[in-house]
Amino acid sequence: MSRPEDTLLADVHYDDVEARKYTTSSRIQNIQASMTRRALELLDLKTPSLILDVGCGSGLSGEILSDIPPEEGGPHVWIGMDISPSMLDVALQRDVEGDLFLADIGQGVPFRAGTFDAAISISAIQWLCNAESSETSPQQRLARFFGGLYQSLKRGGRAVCQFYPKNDVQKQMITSAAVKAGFGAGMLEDDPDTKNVKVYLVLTAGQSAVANTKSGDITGVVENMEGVDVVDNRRQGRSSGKGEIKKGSKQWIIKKKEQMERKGKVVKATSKYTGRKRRIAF
Amino acid sequence: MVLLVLIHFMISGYMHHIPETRFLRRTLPLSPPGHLEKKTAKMKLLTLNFLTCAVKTCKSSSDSFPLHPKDAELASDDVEVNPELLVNLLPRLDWKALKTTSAELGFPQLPDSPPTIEQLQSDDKLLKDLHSLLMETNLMEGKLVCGVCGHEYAVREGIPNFLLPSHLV
Repeated sequence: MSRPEDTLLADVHYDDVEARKYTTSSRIQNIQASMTRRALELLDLKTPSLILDVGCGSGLSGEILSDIPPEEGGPHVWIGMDISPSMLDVALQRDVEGDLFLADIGQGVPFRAGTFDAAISISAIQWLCNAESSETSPQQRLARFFGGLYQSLKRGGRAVCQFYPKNDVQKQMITSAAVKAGFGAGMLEDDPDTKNVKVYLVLTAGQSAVANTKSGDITGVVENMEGVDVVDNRRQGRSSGKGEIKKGSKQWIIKKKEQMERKGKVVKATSKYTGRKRRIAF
Repeated sequence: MVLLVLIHFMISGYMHHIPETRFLRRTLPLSPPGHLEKKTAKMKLLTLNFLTCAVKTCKSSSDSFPLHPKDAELASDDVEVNPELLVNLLPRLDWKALKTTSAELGFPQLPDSPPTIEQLQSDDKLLKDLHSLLMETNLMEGKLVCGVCGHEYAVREGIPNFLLPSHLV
């Protein structure tokens, strides 16, 4: 099957005709619904929550979020972002419950730190890999998106992004951007090595204050699920000598500032004076 | 009679500051919602309490939050009360910002400090009032203005436009 991402930008591809086709196709509706349910399973929300729907489109996934019965921890309130006005127009006509935003996720996430309990994204973030223009690159857009997402999630919040990677390079690019933004990242593949493979990027933003010991680690997400094999590719131990930064050094200060910035704190700009000693005064 | 005069005074005093704000709903807010024209899309006041300016240079300034509504058209909507959700959201609300926003939109003064979770759980009226302010009051049309850079985000049919030209990203 051809990939629309390869030829056009998302807001151009989903014009009025495409948006309507996409939303009325019962095949797409079914796939979207099952992927949303799977993502919700991974998010494991116990109470009614505030959720960010990244690339909400016509609100197919959002509808499911609003329809969760109280005994399963719902109904959730969601805020959707999408770049395609036509898709949002279809969402308008379908009278969805959530709030809608016309925004480009490659430009960041305009919410203050710690807003959302969780984030969900169904078939959207692969679009970030294809926006090639002289001003931005996919890496930049991915960094802005994951940086903004990390900030806007509360500590201990989870994000599940289902996406269609074109190849392993793209998969690698997306996960490394997420890890760089500070997320604990894991990749869940349903039906691996078949044509129907579905890839979910599972992200955790820091550790919650009330976390039990296990769920802080990304593998805790799939702890109670059946039929999931965990393949841990993370580097074991970081005592390779090179990474040692001396406490109080300029490098260390810059690292700390970056950490604070990721948490959404207001941080002064780094300059040539950062970390300099004051001159000795009597 | 005195009460009526007071309300009139309050609205006109407010209009003096931000002259272009129109009111669709002139009933006393924080009371059971009166029904107005129903449109499909909406932006809850709750969302406005979380939204910041998207411009890069505004990220480091605390004045980029909250965004200030301008020429705002409001509408109210019937949403089922969900006490658990409000209890969940309460610690995350920026009460000062909510107070500013509601004052700018011409609602009566909110108390200085947010209610505690226990108060919310025991006081049914408080819960309903907060619910109608946060979940049922919607911004339909108008602009959201950043306090730092002055960028105006247009809101049409309840959908704010947060697309930025590339030099501001």
